Amino acid sequence: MYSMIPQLIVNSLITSAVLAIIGIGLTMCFDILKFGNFAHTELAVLGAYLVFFFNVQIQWNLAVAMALAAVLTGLFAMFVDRLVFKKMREVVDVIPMITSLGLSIAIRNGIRAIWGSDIRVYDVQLSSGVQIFGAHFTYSQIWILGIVTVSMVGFHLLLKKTKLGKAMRATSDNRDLAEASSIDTERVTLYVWFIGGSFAALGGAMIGWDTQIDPMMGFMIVIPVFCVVLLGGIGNIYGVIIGAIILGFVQNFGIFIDFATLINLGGLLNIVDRVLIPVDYKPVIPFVILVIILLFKPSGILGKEKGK
Amino acid sequence: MQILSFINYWVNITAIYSIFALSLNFQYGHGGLINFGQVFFLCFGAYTVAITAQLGVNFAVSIVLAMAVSGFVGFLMSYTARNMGGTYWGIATLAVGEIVRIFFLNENWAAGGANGISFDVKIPYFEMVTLTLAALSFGFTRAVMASPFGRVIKAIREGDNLPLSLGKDVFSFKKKTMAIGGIIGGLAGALFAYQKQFINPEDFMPIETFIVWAMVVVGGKGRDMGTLGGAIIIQIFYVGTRFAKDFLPIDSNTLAALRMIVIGLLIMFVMMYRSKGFFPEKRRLYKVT
Amino acid sequence: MLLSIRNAVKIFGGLRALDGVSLDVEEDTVTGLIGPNGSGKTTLFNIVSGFLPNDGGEIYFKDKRIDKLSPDAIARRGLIRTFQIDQSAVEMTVLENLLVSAPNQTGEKFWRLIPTIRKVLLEEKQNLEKATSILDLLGFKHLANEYAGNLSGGQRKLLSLGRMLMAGPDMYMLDEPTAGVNPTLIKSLLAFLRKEVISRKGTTIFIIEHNMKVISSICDKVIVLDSGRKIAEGTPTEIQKNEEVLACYLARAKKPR
Repeated sequence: MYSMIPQLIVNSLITSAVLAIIGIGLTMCFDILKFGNFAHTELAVLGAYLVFFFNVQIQWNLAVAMALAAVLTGLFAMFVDRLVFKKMREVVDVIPMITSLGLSIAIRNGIRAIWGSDIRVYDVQLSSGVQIFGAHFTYSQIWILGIVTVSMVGFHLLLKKTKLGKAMRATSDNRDLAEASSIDTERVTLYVWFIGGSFAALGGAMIGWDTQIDPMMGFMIVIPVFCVVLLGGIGNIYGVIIGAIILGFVQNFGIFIDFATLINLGGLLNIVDRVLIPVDYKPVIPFVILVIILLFKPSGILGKEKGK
Repeated sequence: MQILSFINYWVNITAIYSIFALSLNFQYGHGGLINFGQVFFLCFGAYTVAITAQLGVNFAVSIVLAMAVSGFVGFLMSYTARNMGGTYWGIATLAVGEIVRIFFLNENWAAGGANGISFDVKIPYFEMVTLTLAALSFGFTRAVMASPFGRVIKAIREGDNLPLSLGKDVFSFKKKTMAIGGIIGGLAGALFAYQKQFINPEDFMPIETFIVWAMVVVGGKGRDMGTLGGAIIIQIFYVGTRFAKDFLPIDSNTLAALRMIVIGLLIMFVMMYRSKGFFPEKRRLYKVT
Repeated sequence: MLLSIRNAVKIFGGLRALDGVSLDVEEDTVTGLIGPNGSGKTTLFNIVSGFLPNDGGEIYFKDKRIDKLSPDAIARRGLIRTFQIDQSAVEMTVLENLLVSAPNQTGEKFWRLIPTIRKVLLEEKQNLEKATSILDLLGFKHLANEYAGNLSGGQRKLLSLGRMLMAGPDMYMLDEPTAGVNPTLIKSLLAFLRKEVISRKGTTIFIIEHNMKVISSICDKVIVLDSGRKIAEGTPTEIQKNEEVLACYLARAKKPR
């Protein structure tokens, strides 16, 4: 079993990477607009299907397809904000949240209507990949980790070094104060949607690249992504990354942890032999973690630590 | 004859959905609690009936049991609402709904796992039963909301501070709100089981929660009459489009998707322009001399 | 002493919002609480009424400790407060706002609704009468069935007083009841308070105010807070002449923002 560890680490890293890049957009939006956007993961699905369209249906190069999908989804996200959520800036948070529920239903089924419910894959060669420390990385997985890392670093630099980044941080800290300091918070909001949307699209594309896509995938990941956002604390970009790593590893390693030792109080008692989380329940892990977080510390494990 | 049995079916389904929608409206429209996992009440109610009916338990007793089980689930869920506000609790309930469904999917001993349970119990005059129970549920929620108890629930909807400052034990009221919502939701689930006579986890996907949300949102939060109106409208839409595939060049999958797009857009539209729903809440007018 | 606060402490992050405040409120008096912005007045109210937990000290109401109790438990003991930001139930009517404020309603217990329905209906009738008479006093009768959300700010303040009257507590804790209210309405408010609350035996008022005219008009005793500490205590006249008090207000005015 221990020989599986390197492979599990690879799988965990991929899961974490995807969750992180999708989570960034959600946490920013949650922070600036004060509501949980249920439709955010559908942006990832949209991006994934756009890549499918450009790569498989029009037969363009995968990189071009991804770039296009990211940009288009970012623009779509901005468009949705303008059309739908802009009216709801001052309203209590339940209204935009329920609206986002409706939006998620509409997007998900729109994709389903256009492309059907079958599973799709991208036009990529099945390469052999490389072996590092006993773990097998396919080339696509290396690219995925690379792209996500570059995106994160790029975003970090944007936040720290650019005027826009400063404006974003100010708006996130205190919207009214930012407005008073003559920051155009509406423009900042648009940028947040664009970046969040395009990152989500990339995340969706990664999923498609690594495995496959289907119209329900957005709903499948909505809880894990929310979980990651809540773990790291809403608005905390770096928290999202840490939360994603935690969840990615817990999900992949969790089914191998033998809880018997815990239950037997470290050998004091002998109640049970082996207690594992059944494989069928693997998808439940993020759900349970989410409920536990919300029960005990809704502000997130890392609390509200502003991106320093 | 086909038409008659179809109308039968539609009446039953609409009555059952109405009851289900009333349970959500009670929690959200009156109580202000956002439950995105409402389907788990349906699930517990249906599975309780499926299990007891298989064992030969009488119809009335099964239904009461289903309501009790669901009510208890609601009571337990209220503990999660204690520290959490709207958004967070919505996410949590969505998660719980899925956990429950996956549990029933995996646990064969509990309820047949992926294969579900089927039983053979035909209820005579089922339409009469569903309609009567729908009317009773409606009457019940109206009566409860007209009482002083209902008044406190309405006050809690707007925030905990005022009722707390007036000495109301807000958490206790929330527990009861969830329990009542659970009881009514369980009733819907029980009837659903008797109607289909075969249930499996596929019947309790999140889509059920979404549809009933559309009903409550369209109908008008808080106004039970509106909720019924919303249920009927959505059901008419559903049934009306059922046969669209016979006229349009689309397959059943696309049809299902298109219908859901309409549902999603409808929810959005109502929230954007008519957030109080099409049948807004009516205020209680007192005679003041 | 109806209310006794001993060394109340409240810490937010690194800030000592309340740094060992001790004070008493005597029964049947009107006690004012004043101080510059941020001195801890509302924090003190929140601690006393149970909306925030205290980090140190003890609070006694009617000789029993209340500082670890929930806000609704404290309210049931006879201490009710208003809020700076009006908390009227906007989707309920004025009359419903008043009716919900009545204490000890049998009809609020779900299980009693059927068994004791006659009692419930009787109480409803009595509460309706009481609410109607309060509406009369407030001059609101024509607004009885109006949504509270449609009232003006000043009217809502009066409504919150109406709710208090309906609830009939032993201790009224008013948090800036005249803030944002126009001068004529303030006069009515004061007249209302004098007639309906102050003149009655067994009612005690603890009031936070910035308006010194209001304070001098109704308060028997005034307590001054600054930066979480009590810096002065006395009659309104004494306080107005107190040099330390004047100094702290001036210092606040001069402080750079």
